[in-house]
Amino acid sequence: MSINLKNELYRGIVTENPLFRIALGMCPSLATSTSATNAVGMGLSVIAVLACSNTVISLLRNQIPGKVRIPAFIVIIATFVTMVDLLIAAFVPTLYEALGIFIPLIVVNCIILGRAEAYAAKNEALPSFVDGIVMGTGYTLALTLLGSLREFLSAGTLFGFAIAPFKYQFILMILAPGAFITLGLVLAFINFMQNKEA
Amino acid sequence: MNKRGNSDLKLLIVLTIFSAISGLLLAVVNEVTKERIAMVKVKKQEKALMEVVSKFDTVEVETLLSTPSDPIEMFTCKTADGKLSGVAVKLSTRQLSKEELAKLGLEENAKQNQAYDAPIKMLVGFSPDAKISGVSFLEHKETPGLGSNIEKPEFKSNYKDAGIEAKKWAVKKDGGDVVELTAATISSRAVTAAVSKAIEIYKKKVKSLEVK
Repeated sequence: MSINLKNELYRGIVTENPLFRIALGMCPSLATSTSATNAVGMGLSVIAVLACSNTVISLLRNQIPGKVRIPAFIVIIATFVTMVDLLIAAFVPTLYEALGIFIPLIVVNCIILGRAEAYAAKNEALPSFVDGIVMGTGYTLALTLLGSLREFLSAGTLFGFAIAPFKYQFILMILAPGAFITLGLVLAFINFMQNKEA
Repeated sequence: MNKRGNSDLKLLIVLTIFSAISGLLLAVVNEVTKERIAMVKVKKQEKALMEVVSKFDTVEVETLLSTPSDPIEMFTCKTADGKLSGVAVKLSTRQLSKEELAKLGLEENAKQNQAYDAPIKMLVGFSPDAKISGVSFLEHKETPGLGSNIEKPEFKSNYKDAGIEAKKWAVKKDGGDVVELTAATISSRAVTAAVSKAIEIYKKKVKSLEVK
């Protein structure tokens, strides 16, 4: 089976974008899109965990009876994330300082379980790994877009650098309502563009 | 009926095996990483100590409350010629019991505020002239982008270089002098309550040092 990487990337970023199209993992996404930097950190952690958990689940898929697949997936993913957490903390402490706070959020992220169920449980290891990478990339880009918008609207900065011509603070945007408003507007815009095309 | 019973048993066995393997893997990884993680924490604490206390050569550690994994300790830092450079109190935002408070010589109704998530572990440094020389966080799990802003210098400057009696140690919302973080009042309150606890511990200890 050959994999068309370009098509796969298009699928992960556009047609099946986990955040904007499948709308999975909203809760941690709203929490971590307060700034562009946070969004990138969370996104990178998700790519790593998703690619690995997809691979492991795909390798074990024939050993798992259908009736108990969900608990089995959860055990595998939770074990996996905890192992990664401990290993990073022990061997790459600087990375842990930057990304450590996101790891508990990933365990409860339903994108991971969603991809295990929808893709890895039915496909070979390599395509599952690729699916993890492209879906993670789509998630990262979407989250970074949200994070950048919210950071810019709330403080006029991007990745911590001031880019607005004057200083201001619009606290609402980094709070929960700002997350909902931004996400709602972005989704509305995407749907509008799609309807126009159709 | 019989067939169904069999397949249920199979499910049970498979899940048990999965859980057992997961448990084993976690135990192995925990064993392998335990020492290194402890080492990283010690290094981080050393770095934090240098951040909150100005130049020193020797450190004396005194354990004031020996709770496993979350002790309260006092570090007395001196220069090579024996001059005191500062004192640091290590504590967390954990809720202490009445017995523990009594052990530390604190009032029974000392203000305690818990963090948003797991206890925030921190070091509070004091200079010899009874000022807070700095606050440094060792471990916290506050929400990224909101509570995690306690690490920002703007927030830490609430405490840095303030005389221990110079401010009212409560957040503005509660009528104090500490400017709380927007959208993270719980975290700000927890840190402020811990700092004021550290101040009380420092006052008690330093007084007893003077008597000696």
